[in-house]
Amino acid sequence: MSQKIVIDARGAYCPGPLMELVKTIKENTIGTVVELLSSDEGSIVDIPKWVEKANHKMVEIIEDDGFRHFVVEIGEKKQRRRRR
Amino acid sequence: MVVEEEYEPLMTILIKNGTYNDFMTLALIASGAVAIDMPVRIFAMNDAVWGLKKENVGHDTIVVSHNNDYAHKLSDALNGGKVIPWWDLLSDLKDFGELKITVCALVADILELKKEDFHELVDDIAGVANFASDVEEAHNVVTI
Repeated sequence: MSQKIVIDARGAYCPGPLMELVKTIKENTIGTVVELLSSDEGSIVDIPKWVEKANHKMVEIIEDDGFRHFVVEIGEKKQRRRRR
Repeated sequence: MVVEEEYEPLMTILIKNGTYNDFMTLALIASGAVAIDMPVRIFAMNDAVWGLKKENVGHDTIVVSHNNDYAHKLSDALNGGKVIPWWDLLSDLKDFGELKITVCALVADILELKKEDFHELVDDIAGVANFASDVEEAHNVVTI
């Protein structure tokens, strides 16, 4: 079973939790599971949207006392063709 | 057969104002783009050029708002470390992805500022042809 990385971004306002998640995912490899703890209200929309857009997998979202756990599995990075 | 090129999206942002709030908006909008690997080109004009001077970045934390309650709340959030300062966020975005800041050559001339007078966040000084080229590529401009 792959290791799970936990990011505690509770108390940070938007876009802090998302930036922490992006940074951690960029530093790790496909299949790694990352659990983000966020109390930011916007995260419930932002995080799943970014996870889908960036081709990762939202494993689950767990409601907790004043915050949420976003469990994400790193997917394959999307390749875009350069404009020039 | 015509094969269409699959273009990489690009976001261009024009920032004209130089208050903390405006730069915070800039960094926030840019973070959304960089998070989805969208390159960002920022063109700074007028007061925003002044705000990007070496001695101003990292020090000018005055929040300007018509709404005193908002200004106080934002100041409290900044002082409490709950909001990432815009200069730190822009710096992180440069590490995460592709973000370029250009300051307007006209305003730099008026203010008698050279490249070395600006904070390291600034990539270069250029004119409207450069900005028009970015806009042509992006097909959009976010104005702040």
